[in-house]
Amino acid sequence: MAAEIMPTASLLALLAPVILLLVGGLAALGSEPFLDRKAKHTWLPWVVALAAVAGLVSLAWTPVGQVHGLLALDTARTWLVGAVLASTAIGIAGLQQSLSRDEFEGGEPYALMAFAGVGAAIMVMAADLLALFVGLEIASLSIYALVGLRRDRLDSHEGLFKYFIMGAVFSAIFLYGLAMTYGATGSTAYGAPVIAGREKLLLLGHALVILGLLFKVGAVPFHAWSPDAYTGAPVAVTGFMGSVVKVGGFAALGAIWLNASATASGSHVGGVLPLDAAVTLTAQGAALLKPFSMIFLVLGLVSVVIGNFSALRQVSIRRLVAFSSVAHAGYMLFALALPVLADQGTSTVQLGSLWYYLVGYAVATAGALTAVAALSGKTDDGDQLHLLAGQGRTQPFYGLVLTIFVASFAGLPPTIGFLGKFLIFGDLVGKGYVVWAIVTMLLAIVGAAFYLKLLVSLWSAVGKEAASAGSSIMTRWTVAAAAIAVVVLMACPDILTRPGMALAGPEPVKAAQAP
Amino acid sequence: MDTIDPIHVQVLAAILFALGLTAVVTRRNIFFLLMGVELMLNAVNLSLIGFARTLPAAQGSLTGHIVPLFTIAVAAAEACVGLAMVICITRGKDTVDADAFADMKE
Repeated sequence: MAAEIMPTASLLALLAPVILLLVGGLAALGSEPFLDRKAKHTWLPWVVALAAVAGLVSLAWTPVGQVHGLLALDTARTWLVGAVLASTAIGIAGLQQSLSRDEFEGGEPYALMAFAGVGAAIMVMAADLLALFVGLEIASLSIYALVGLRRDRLDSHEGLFKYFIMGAVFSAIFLYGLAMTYGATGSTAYGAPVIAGREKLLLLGHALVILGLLFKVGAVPFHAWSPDAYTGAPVAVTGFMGSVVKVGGFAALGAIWLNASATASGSHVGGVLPLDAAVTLTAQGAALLKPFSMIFLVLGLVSVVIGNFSALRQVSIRRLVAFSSVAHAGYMLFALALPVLADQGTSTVQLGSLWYYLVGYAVATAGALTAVAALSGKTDDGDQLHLLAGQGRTQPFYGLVLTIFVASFAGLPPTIGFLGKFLIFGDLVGKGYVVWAIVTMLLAIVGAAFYLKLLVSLWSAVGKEAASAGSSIMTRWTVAAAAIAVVVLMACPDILTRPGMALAGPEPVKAAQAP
Repeated sequence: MDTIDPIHVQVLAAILFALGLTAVVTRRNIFFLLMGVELMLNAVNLSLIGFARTLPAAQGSLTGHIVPLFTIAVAAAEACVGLAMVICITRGKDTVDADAFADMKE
């Protein structure tokens, strides 16, 4: 099947969900100086969260299409933008929880979080390296500021410093990749045809672009920043940055990968490729891409090993989530690399399992850390394992939702995380990588061990009083909605690739898994 | 040799980029790290403009002139956040030595 070209849509209609969130953020930023401290933490989060929810609802009416070859929306992108907006709403709730408890003097973090959500949504919608770069920087710059939110904390300074310097360097590396890709193709669009004689330049450019994105998603060997940045940030920001940056980064990686598959197979006919497209890989394209997908597989395996084993030793939930996010990045690299690998000459590249895993991971991460923010009591240091002990019994609601999110991380049914892992392992076996599947499965069990440790601690009967300083309505609603989504989305695995209005539909994910 | 070939521009850009990267990796003063990052971004701008001159006319080389405008804006915003970061962290530790910020355990 040749790659389809997406229809053109109007800019305003396509960007409506992002614009709603942006307006919410700007309104919060503009009204912030006129409110007293208590009102800031009462009204501003509602403004931003409602804007995010309005954006989420407006996705139902947003057309499928592309604008000027820069931004695009299709079924998969719609779901990923939805995951970003949902994570933003959940993150805002957690931020309100933490900031009103600390009586934080400013209200601008809510606006910053909205802007970071806007940046990540643009990264998802990007169909061009320039749009991707702008989205990446909007998201990154806002998140740097959010990481350094606790201005009087030395560990916050250190997390911010490391994240900023490394982030700035990898942004520059990404940009150099953009420049080389432009030099080789004469265009910054994904999958533009190469000018004869400049194939090596294109290869180098793509390598640098992918390097920059691998840093953003925190895959080995570019994961060194994540534990420190995650620990330096307030609990609610940790969940937010863990989910939206990963969604943006992997959406961009997947889009570039899909376009490279189409271009290498000669089936790219120009225009914008939908993320849920099924690209038929020719033998020539497979030969070109196979070394790269082997690199992704190896990086993925190393990420899973380092992430899971390092997480075992952690006592702070934020650090634990940081290492578990490295492991999850590894599983997602599997989902990225596998479709290209086949026993025979040709295969169909369809990244449905990556998108599915990504949506599930994003919602569960944002929800879990917001629940921890509500459970951790008077200070953010309350996220230590021994301080959380028994909190599930004193606050059964948060205990229950946190259990659902952690079950999703560990890959237990009936959650979206289970099906996400199942699709990846099924694909590994289907492509003949049985040994890899067994090894990864064993590593997933190592991963399950530390999630279990967390749950045992959460529900243990130590009989402490509630550490919580109370939780807001918004926190309760958003985490409850996230928990329901984590369970309900498991029932419909093909929802992310279900054909959009004007697009010819690829096969559902499950059918693609058959060996 | 009295003309500048496109390749010379690319070599210069690569050297500047490498210099910037070296500065970030080896220097310990935070301000030099920020300057290194700026140098890398400006090297990329040079590279983009250099590439724009090598492209065949059919490709329409305007992109190479426009992308640097975006980069300049982004670099300014990045410097802004970077200097705000320096102010924030020097209040905590009263030093601009990068090695002072390496206390977190593995």
